[in-house]
Formats: sequence, C-alpha cells, structure tokens
Amino acid sequence: MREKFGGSQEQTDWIAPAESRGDSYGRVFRQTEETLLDKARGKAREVARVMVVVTALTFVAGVPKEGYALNLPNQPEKTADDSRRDTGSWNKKVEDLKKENSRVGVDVETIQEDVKKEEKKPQKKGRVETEFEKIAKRTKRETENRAKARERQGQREIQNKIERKIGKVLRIPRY
Amino acid sequence: MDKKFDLFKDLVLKSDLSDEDKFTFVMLFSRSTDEELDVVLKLMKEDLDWVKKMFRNYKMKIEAKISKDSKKWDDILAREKKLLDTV
Repeated sequence: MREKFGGSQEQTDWIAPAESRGDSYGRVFRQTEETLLDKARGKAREVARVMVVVTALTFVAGVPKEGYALNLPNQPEKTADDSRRDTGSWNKKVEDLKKENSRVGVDVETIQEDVKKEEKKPQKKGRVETEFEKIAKRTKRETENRAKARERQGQREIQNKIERKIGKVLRIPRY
Repeated sequence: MDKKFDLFKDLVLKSDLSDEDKFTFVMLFSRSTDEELDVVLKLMKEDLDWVKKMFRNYKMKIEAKISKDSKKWDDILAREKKLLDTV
C-alpha cells in the first residue's frame, strides 16, 4: 500500500507510506518537502528524492535494535536474526498484536519491555522461546486476567445490587 | 542475504562519519524499502560525500522532530532548496 501526497503517483509511490511510519507532524513536513521534489529536475530531483527518504525514515517510530550487524570495532558482533526482513516481520507481528489487544486494553509495549528485561536473565535449558512467543504468551495471560477481573467486578456489582434491595426491604417500617 | 543493504553498509563504513554516526545511519536505513535504498545508493556510489550530507540532513530533521520547532523545519527546507540549486 502506498500513499500519495499531492504530487503524482510516480513521484512518491516508491516511498513507504507515511501513515504507517510516522505521525501527522511528519506527514505535514513530508508534504511540504515533496513540493520541492515536484519542482526539481535532473540531478536535483535525485537529491530531493533522497531528502524525502531521509524524512520518511526520520519519522519511523522507534528504531530496531537487533539484527543489524555493522561489525564496527566497538560494536559486539550480532549474528542472530541478521536480516532486516526478519525484523520487519517481527514488527508487523507486534503491530498485529497491538491491534488485536487494543480492544481489551492490554498494553503490549509494557509487556514488550518486561520481556526484554526477562531476556537479560539466564535462560533455562531446552527450547528457547522467541521474543514474539514470550510476548504472545504474556499478552494472553494479561487478557485472561483482565477478563477474570471484569467477571469478578460484575459479580460484585450484582451482589451490591442484591444487598441494596435487601437493605430497602429491611428498612420497610413495620406496623 | 540482502545485497543492497550490505552494499549500503559497506559504503557507510567507508565514509568519513564517526563510528557512532555510521551505526546510527545504518540503523536509520534498516527500515528502508528497496526502492528507497536504490535512490540513496545511486548518490552514494557516485560520491561518498553524500553520506555526510545525508547524515547532516537527518541530524537536523531528528532535532526538529524532537523539539517540534517549526522554525527548524523552515530552516531545513531553506537549506534543502539551497542545496538543490547548487547540484
């Protein structure tokens, strides 16, 4: 899915859609910047395209932290999941999970942070769960807990109603 | 293997950016699409100085994004217009 901004489709359809990659503030600036792209010709057009790409990436929410081995002298070498495609699918999974759970109010980001903290602890032997599996499991648990809490709340409310009714009955003056 | 992205990484490593900036720049482009990477690689292959220019452009943009200062955005646009006039 691509997004158009005022300019023609062929001018902007190679840039990832801003709606999935940034906030409204970024979109407004990108629209303005793309007017530059419309006017530029030749070499200037190539440069303008690069500027728009930089803007688009600047407004990507968050930056993936794993799977991008640069192998600089001071950077620890990362070998696991060394593919930006994999991280892309991971991000999609998290986004899907967020959408799925937004209805029940489960905060996936908080869970994600907790899972990262847990990852720092020594791993048990046997099959190692992926980060997504851990988040999915934790989210499921949170959802179930919330459902139980709602159920308990409902029962309390019914009980309160009954008690109020009984109270009214008890307050009826006797003759 | 992602050949385009590997080429991008190689070119960034060859640039004059500091190690920290190189890392930041590669991380920034780790979310890029192939089409976006094509556009950037074309300029980088021609002249590695574009890495520095692009990074400078990114730094200004990220600062403006964080500060939410519209004047900074105006300044960036003015600089970009000036740059486009010179190429």
